[in-house]
Amino acid sequence: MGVVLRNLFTGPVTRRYPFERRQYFDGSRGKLLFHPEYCEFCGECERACPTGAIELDTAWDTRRQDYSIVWLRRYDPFKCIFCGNCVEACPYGAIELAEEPAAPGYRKEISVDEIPNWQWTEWVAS
Amino acid sequence: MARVTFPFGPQHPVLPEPVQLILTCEDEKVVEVKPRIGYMHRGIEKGCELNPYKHNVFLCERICGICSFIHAEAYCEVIEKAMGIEVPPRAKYLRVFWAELSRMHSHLLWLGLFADGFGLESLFMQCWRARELVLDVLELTSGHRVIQSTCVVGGVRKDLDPDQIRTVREMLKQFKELYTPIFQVFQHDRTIKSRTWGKGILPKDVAWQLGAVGPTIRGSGWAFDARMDGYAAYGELGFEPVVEEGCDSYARMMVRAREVWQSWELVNLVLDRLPAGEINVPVEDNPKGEAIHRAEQPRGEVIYYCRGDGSPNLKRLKVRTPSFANLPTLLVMLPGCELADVPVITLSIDPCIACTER
Repeated sequence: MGVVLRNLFTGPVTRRYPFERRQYFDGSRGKLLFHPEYCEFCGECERACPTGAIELDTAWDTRRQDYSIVWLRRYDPFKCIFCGNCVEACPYGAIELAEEPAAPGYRKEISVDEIPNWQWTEWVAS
Repeated sequence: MARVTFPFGPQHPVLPEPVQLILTCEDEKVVEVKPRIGYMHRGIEKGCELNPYKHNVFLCERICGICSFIHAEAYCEVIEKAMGIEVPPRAKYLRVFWAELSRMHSHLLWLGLFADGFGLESLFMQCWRARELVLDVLELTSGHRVIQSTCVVGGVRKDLDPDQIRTVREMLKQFKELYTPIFQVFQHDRTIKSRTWGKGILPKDVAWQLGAVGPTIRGSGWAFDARMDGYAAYGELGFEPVVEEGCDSYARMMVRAREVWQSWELVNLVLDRLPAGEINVPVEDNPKGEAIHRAEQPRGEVIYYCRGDGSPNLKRLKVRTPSFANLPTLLVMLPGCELADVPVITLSIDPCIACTER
């Protein structure tokens, strides 16, 4: 009887989503953010990733005609298990885990980031 | 009386996981039962041979979503045994902390499902409401609600700071307030007793002969618990298993309900006695030789065996999970029971098919 009366005069236990969102704790492992400007292409994240979600690769720069190459980082969010290994492994702080979880995807897209690199042009030409 | 044989599962409202029972009934009475497994094989043991051994922690965690931390812990401990690594004391205590929180949330999940199994849906909601607090503690301390990913070979990855410890203590106090009335309902409610008392009897000697583990054997009067070995910090914390003598579904339920309190006390004890110092040691070598480790999961004892040859990949990883040991007990519990009691008795061993088949 006490429980019934208490439940009559208290609000709902559940959250009124989407008007009221859940507050995430500090350090929750949500989506993975990448800052290409800090990346030095060392490959530590690729080696630390247990699922092979991160791949580093090079390609010819098709925008230029002087044999320069671009550094690419491919990240598959559908392989990622958000363990945080890459965040710990990165010596330059280029990867971080946000507290917000990633939004659901419509299709399985691999995100490709270009990492700004130093010029190979002169080296290749010489 | 004509016999009727029909399948129960693998998809059934009360079964959380796919196990099929071929039941043979005479009127409303079950006379024969044949469990059938094999709906969920994922090849995780083979996968563990293909990955570098340090990455296997995350794969072993995914053997089971509910006792994920204890799988990771058992894997790390078996590799540490094979390599002769001594883990820092703080890491040992933190492992007990997360393992006991996992046990609490697993038992509360099961108590809720059990309540749903015999028809008390409100109690199911209350159990899961209390479980939500435990999941919040896990998220606060490890960063994730279900898959903690905090255990690594050589120690743990996350530490507790004083602020977190204070918050966790408050949340544990709230949990006590929430769980006390739920526990009393499980202990004294007449409806629950009428559905569980004397149902699914597993005699003491038969439980031992069939090799049952965990709450299933402790509900039959055996003080059999892998934590008595004193792995991680259990030896220093002083541990006594929860034992019930009833041998029926009610006894198995009460073992789990009381183990929630025991885990609650252990978590508090860990917070009181948490030693200072490092949380992990660097590990550079590769495992060579073989090792075996027993750990206590919410469902019972899990055994990990590994063999390495000095390369980064393991030659063999073998896991013997508790539900695999507990499934044969259904052959003793179910014959002779009423058809309506089959879901309750089947749930009373807490079958985890994700663990069993890997």
